[in-house]
Amino acid sequence: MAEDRYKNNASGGPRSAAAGTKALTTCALLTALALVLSYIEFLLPISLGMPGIKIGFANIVVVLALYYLGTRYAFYINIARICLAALLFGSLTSALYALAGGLVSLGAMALLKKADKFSLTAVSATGGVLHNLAQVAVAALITRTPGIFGYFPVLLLAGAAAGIFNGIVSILVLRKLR
Amino acid sequence: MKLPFFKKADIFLFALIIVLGAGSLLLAGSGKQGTVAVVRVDGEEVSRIQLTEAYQEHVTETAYGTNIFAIEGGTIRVKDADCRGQDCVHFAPINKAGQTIVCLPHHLSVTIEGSSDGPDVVVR
Repeated sequence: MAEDRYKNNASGGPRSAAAGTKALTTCALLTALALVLSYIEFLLPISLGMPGIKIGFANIVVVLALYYLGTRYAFYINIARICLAALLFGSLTSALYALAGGLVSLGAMALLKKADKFSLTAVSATGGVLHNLAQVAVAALITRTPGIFGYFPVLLLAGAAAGIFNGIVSILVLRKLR
Repeated sequence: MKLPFFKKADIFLFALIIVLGAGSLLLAGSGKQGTVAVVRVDGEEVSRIQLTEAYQEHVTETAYGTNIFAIEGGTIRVKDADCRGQDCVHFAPINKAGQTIVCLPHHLSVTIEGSSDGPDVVVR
């Protein structure tokens, strides 16, 4: 299975120096790709009467990494791309916000993928919904305003739609990859 | 590995999402027109703004930064802010009780409330 592509040995390190280098390079490439996608989205914001609604193209890369390289590398790529995007064109607040969404969504997707019952599309849709839920929760905590949850119905729909879109793109890419 | 677009078990996940959505719709505000906007910073109320028909501006300055509100036609929006994200400026104007605009970098929120000072009428 593709999951074993860069599988590590029991001690946690890569099986060989060559495999380690290959894994590192793949991660770096995917991180760069995610950053480019984030930047394109940063330049072309969608306006739906509230900020934060976007397709999250960078999550295509995260979902791809989850299914192609496994949870561990998807996690590394996710952290790297969020921190770098915040440094390049975000802020401390946006990083906090993105980290909450990114980690909750990846955690949930990894668990659902492990269950091995659901399609990538449904896994990605759930990831999208939880991503937005986590972000609203952080916003409510920072401003101590539970009223923000009033935006949740819209965010839930947007998250599911974006997740389905990203999931389908990921499937199409993965089918070409193998 | 086979990669179908959908599987049978997906129904459970999509059902869960729909239930969450329906639940949150029920919880989301009454939709009644509000008359006053309450500005809070770190959860502490800093000012109350009457939602007038006529255009007016209201400036909130805190240690985190400055937000300028525009009130017009019974609605309020953030016209300008010196935060980096400018997210608050991108919210659509609000006017219904419970609706909220937030500015995360400034720890600020604006929430619409029904009336400014207690009940409209007290019947004895």
